[in-house]
Amino acid sequence: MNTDLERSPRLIPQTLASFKRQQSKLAILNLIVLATLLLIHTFFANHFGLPTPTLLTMLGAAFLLRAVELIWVQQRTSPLSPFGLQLLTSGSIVLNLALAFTAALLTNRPDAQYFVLLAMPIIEAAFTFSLFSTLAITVAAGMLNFLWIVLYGWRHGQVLPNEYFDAATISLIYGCVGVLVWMLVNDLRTNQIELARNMSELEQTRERLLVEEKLGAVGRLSSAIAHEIRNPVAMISSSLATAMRGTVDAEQREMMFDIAAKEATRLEQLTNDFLAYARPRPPTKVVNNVADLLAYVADLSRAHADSRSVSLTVNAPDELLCDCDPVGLQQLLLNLVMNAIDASPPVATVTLTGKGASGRVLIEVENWGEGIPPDDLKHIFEPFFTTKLRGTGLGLAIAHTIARSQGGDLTLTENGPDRVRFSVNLPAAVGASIEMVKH
Amino acid sequence: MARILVVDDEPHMRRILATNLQQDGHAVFEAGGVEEARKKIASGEYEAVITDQKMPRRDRSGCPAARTAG
Repeated sequence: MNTDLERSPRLIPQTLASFKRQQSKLAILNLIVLATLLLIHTFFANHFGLPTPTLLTMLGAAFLLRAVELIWVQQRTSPLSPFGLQLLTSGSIVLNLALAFTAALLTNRPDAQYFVLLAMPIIEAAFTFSLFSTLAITVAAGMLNFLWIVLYGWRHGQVLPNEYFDAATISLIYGCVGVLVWMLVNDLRTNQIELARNMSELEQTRERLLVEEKLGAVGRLSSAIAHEIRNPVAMISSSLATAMRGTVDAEQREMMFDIAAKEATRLEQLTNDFLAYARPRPPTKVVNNVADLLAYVADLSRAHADSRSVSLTVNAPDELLCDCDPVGLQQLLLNLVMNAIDASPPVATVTLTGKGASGRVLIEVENWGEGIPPDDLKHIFEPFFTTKLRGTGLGLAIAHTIARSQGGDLTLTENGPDRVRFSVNLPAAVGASIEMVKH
Repeated sequence: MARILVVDDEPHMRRILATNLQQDGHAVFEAGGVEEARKKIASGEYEAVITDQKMPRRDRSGCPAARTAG
């Protein structure tokens, strides 16, 4: 992907922003140089004489052209192609060379200050062209300087030797500027290539890791699904085969049919749960009273809690409202509360808390008991990961998916040593114009 | 006829295995987990133990029942 960049001796603006930045700076520099030269000319009018109308018109036209260039660069929606950039730079170089020479002719002095304009083509060449081209432009600028001295001598009959010396010194300065700028630009270009190569390697590594991670997740999921389906299917076929044996009595046959039916139901439940995880229903968001919602979920869980001698407590302010899908949120909270009850020691308390926090609603489900072991932490939201004897491992995975689909998140906010807390972060309801849901 | 201990945390699977083995004329005993299997092996004589390879344990060590029983 970097071959164009590596083949080119130029500092290529890679993005629209860098193209605009580079070309705008050069255009502004040209404008400043033109304005400064004209100011100097006017300020030292006693020495240079007042600028002639022709010179003023020419400088005004050049100023206008640079201003148009600046606006055009700013309004571009894409960077120029390398060829386009070369064309623009070539035009700018020719313009400045011609401008400097013509301005010198119009000023008609051996020390014409407009030769400062020759520094700009050298800088532009160093930015855009190779070292050879930059040196060629430098030589051209130097030769224009000498040509002007010769021409001046021819027009006025004589030239002082120090004018040639001045021209030689200025040409040497041009050469130094050209080489120095080219070296700096070349250094930048090398860094740019190195950076682009590193970025490309990083991107490739990131893509490879993503693919590996996806393949790994698909593998783990397939293996978990196969394991969860294989057991009930094996039991259905074994129990039916046993029931078909001629030697079993009516009671045993009845028991085998019962096992087959229960395992088929378990398989159906597993499929429904997995679909709830893999293809969650799109949320229909309405304004919900959090205290009502928590009380409703606590009522649904009461029988299970009583069977394990666990008590349920709900704490939420009456006025707390959240913007969410009530059916999805009930399922999410029910999964969390059931897990909390199952993980609680006897005679423990599971607490459901609702509170507002900076434009969000925080619902917490907390139970007493040991924390989740560190090795299990990174798997708790993965489907089919369970530490329960009879769990499918889909409860937390479904809860996590629902929280995300409602513009919220589900996190483990406290883990041991004597309590575990899961927190659901949801958008708070904005305004109260939407119909409230009663639980 | 043999005395066989069937160890599995899935009660349905345990029942199916036990029924089939009983039909074949064996004396079948059941254990629903590692701890129960260990107690039964300590207090009784079995000619064979048929066990699930992976079962949850209270101490979460994941040690197969067969190894404990063996």
